[in-house]
Amino acid sequence: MKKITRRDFLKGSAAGMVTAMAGSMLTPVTGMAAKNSTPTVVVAFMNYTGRPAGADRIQELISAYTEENFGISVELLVLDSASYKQNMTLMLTSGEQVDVFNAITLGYTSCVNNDYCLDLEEDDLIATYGAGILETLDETYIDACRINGTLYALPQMRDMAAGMDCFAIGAEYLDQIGFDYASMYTEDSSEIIYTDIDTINDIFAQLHEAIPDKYVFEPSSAANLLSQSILVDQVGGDTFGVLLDPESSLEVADLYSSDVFYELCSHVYAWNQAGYISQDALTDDTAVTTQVQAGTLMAYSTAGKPGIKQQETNLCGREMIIFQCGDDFMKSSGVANMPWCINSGTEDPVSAMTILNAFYTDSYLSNLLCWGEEGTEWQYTDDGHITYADGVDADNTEWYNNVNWEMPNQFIAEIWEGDSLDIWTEMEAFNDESVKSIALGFAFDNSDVSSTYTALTNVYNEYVESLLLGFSDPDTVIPELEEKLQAAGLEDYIAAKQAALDEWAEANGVG
Amino acid sequence: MRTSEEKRFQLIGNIVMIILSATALLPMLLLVISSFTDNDTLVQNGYSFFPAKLSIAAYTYIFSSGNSVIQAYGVSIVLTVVGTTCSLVITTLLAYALAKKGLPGKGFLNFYVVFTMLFNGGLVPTYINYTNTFNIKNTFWALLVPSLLANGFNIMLMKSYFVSPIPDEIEEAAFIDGASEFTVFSKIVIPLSKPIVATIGLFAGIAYWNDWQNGYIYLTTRTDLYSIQNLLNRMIQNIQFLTQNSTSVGNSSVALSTIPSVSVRMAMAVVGVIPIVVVYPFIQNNFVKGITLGGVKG
Amino acid sequence: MSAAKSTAVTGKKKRWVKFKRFLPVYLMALPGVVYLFINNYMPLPGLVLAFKNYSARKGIFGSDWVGLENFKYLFSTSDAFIITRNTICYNVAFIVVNLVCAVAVAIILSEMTGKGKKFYQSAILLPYLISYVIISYLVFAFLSTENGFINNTILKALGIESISWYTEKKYWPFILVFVNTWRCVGYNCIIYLSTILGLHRPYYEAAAIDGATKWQQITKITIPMLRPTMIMLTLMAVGRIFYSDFGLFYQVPRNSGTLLSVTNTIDTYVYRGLLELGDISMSAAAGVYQSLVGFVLVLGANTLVRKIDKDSALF
Repeated sequence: MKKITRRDFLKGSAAGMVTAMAGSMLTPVTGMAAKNSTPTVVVAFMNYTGRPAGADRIQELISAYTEENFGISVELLVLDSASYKQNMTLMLTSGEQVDVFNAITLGYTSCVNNDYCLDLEEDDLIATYGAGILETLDETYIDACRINGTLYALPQMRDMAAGMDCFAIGAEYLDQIGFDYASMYTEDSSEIIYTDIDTINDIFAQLHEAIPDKYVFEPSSAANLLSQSILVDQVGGDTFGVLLDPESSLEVADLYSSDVFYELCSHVYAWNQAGYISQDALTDDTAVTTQVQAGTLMAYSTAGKPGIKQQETNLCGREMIIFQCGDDFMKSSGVANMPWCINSGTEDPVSAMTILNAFYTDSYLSNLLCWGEEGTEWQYTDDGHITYADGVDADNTEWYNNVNWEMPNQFIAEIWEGDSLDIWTEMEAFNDESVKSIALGFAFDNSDVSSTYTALTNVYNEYVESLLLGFSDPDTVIPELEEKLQAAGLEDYIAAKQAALDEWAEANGVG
Repeated sequence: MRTSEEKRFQLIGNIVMIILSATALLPMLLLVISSFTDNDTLVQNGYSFFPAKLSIAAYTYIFSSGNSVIQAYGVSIVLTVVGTTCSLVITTLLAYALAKKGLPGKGFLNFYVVFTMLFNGGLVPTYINYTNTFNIKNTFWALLVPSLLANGFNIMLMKSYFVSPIPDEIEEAAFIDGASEFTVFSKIVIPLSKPIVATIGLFAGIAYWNDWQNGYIYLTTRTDLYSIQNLLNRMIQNIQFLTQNSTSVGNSSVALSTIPSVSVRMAMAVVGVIPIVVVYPFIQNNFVKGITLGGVKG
Repeated sequence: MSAAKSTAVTGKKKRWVKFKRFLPVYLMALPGVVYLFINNYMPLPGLVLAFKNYSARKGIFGSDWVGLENFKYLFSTSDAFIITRNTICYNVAFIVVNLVCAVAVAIILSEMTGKGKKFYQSAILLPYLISYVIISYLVFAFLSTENGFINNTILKALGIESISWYTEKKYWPFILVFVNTWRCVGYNCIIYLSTILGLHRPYYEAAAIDGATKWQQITKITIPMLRPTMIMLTLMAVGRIFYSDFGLFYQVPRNSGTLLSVTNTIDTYVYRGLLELGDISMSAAAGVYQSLVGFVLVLGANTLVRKIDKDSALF
């Protein structure tokens, strides 16, 4: 008996010590929900740098406003970009409270497959509580988020098309070879120079000759090059089975045996052979913009859109000139690749929809989400832009959201210094006038062919990057790739995709 | 004769160890130097022992006001101390039981422990168990408890040590003298097992110090509970994510493009490892010296 | 009759005495047993996830059964052979190389008398404290085609043409084994070192008096005494034979596609395949498969060990 007491005493004192040392760190801090009886809506999204220091304050400002207007408080769950997918998967499977979330990095189709998303039209939810959203968003874009006819999510207001075959080249290097780009701007386009690939070839050759100690070109990434260079639609979100003529034909075909793919690879291969591309391009993950900033690289591939020149110039720390050889193109997945969803497990869909509606329509809330608090984070400039508040800069700001394109509606927020005051009008025109895929809004549920998909992905990893960076001779390697893809079941996969697409087309009256 | 053999052994031993140490240290030196190298120089010339331009920008970025590195150090230290202590207590006690001669049900107990090394429920069920049943999300418990507190590997290592080197006579003599189980354990077994206790303590300590997974999974709102490795890993991975997706950063790119992305990675590794380098020699004494059985016997 | 009864009573009594005698020991085991139950056994029912088509609406246990459907992707293609071969071969190489190196280093360190001992031990532990993400950049510093030390300094000095390391398959089995050993030897040797230090010094003194050489002391005393530890660590490694360190096989080769046939393991294959898919049932299936194989192998190996040397067996 005596022994036990002593041991218990020792164990007890150890436990006491632990408690004392850890102190308050052990109790969970529950959010606003605990404080009052108003319903709370938890809104989750990702941010490049994780939960900002001012998150609690912004959350309170938003809540104060929504409580007054709708009787609902809001809790913001701002997660790191790198951990977003894992955190969200775990929360959605464990049934924790998340009412509204963005599907970015999770994948919209994957969310729907796992039943994470609520049918937004169930019981007229959106018609009753989200009327503002229906007014704000174009019907085409809303329909583009339907999967098998059901609306599970809503797209945000942002650039949905992309300027194809686009190159950013350092202005000073163009000046060095005496290339007159200034005269190439037109009345309609003072930002992007529209040209053709021969001109780019020509510029590259001159750059290499004049400045041999710098690398001429590197794609921002192999996958980006593939999706941003050739006007094919990667329907269903993968490259196995694409629309080669996305404007008019619904035929799903093999990209890798196509001429456009061969041409792209041959181009890059020739550039690599000519010494334009760093021999480490395949394995060095230093961002192209960082390389341009450091002065080792002169040009890279990107995707055109309004504001692109300013963006790339900022990223590279030197003036960049944007050339575009292709059309502006809206892919089938261009609209629905990071939409906003309501958790299928939410206890209060009405409140969730009400808050989402407010985010889409209320410029006060949109400003808070995008830029933070007026006077603390930002202030107006004389010409109607906004900029940092006094004494605040990029390093010490407590809310400088770097994901405004992820927010429901950045179009109703203020415009930061450096961008055109008309940028959102331009953006809308850009979206409207782009070439649109005939399959806009088609999503492919590949869960029935998922083992084929994993096999194909591994073949892709083995060959495609090396081809797209010009390290493999397309004449010999493409046939090898093709053979492996066939062995992995490419044809079955394409057939499954075609069947799904045909079904979708019939249901939607396309084709 | 013997001394010359001894000398030869010491010479060869030293040569081998010098080569091994150099192999280990040179890359570490490179790590430290590149963390002090100017970011642009790194991109231009690659990693170098003699960089063209030095810079402390990486450290300035890490210690800048937005990142509470000092607090994260604090969390890490508390976590490692508390975690290692608890882990040692639990592991030693269970290992002692497993090593007990003639304990009924020992075979089952052994299997119970070994099984945990081979099977686990996977991430999702474990997460659901800890968040829904034990409600430890966004608390310090989340850093302390999941997967780190004790593991079959350490328990079995300690058990095998307990089985062998403690002469049964000593233990039995103690029992005959009327000592309780716990007295034998704390007064005889533990002092004789200093090397293994130090070793398992070191293993547990390193595991706690280096762990970032628990924080990654279980902390979503409590940024004040980030441990140093969790904070550093988040920074590294966010920068990596950002540089790979830089096409859609819009305006904010000005702020983000000033991050010295290449050197900062190296600096973070240095920041994370320095405390261990400082503390390690003190722990080391415990197993460099070994123990003298004779003393106890006498 | 009465004799039998009295034996039964004494048997019962004996058991009770025995239990009372061991009660403190059971209580000492309790915290660990409870923790392992919470951490390892409570989530176990979640393994059914591997046999379900997961739906958040229905929950893990309510989701539809799909049998072995989720396992199909692990076996359906020719990659299945490659990833299994790679995983097993690398692990076997690691088990052997790590064992030999760790024991050798531990013996050298334990016999050393000079002041360098502590320094050496700290130095070789350092790489273990650095994550594979960082190590992959350090390896890149040596192997990069343009700026790497090996190409730029060593091969240049020898007048050898530079090598494109990240596209040449033949070097990678050696590189990976080397990197693994380099990172882990300092850590792995600690356990042997502490075991050696726990051995009776008098054995050695007696042996030395009898005129045994250092080499004889090592082979005749130290190594046999280390045998149980070696067997146990090897058995535990066998249980993990279908697992691989993701960092080593994904980060260190810098995800180079050309190297896949010699660097792809079950873990990296699953990661690449499921990255976009986000299917938690399929990743659970991979875990079940890996555990199951490890479990069977350990059971087998353990039975074998029991036959030869009962004390060294795991259970």
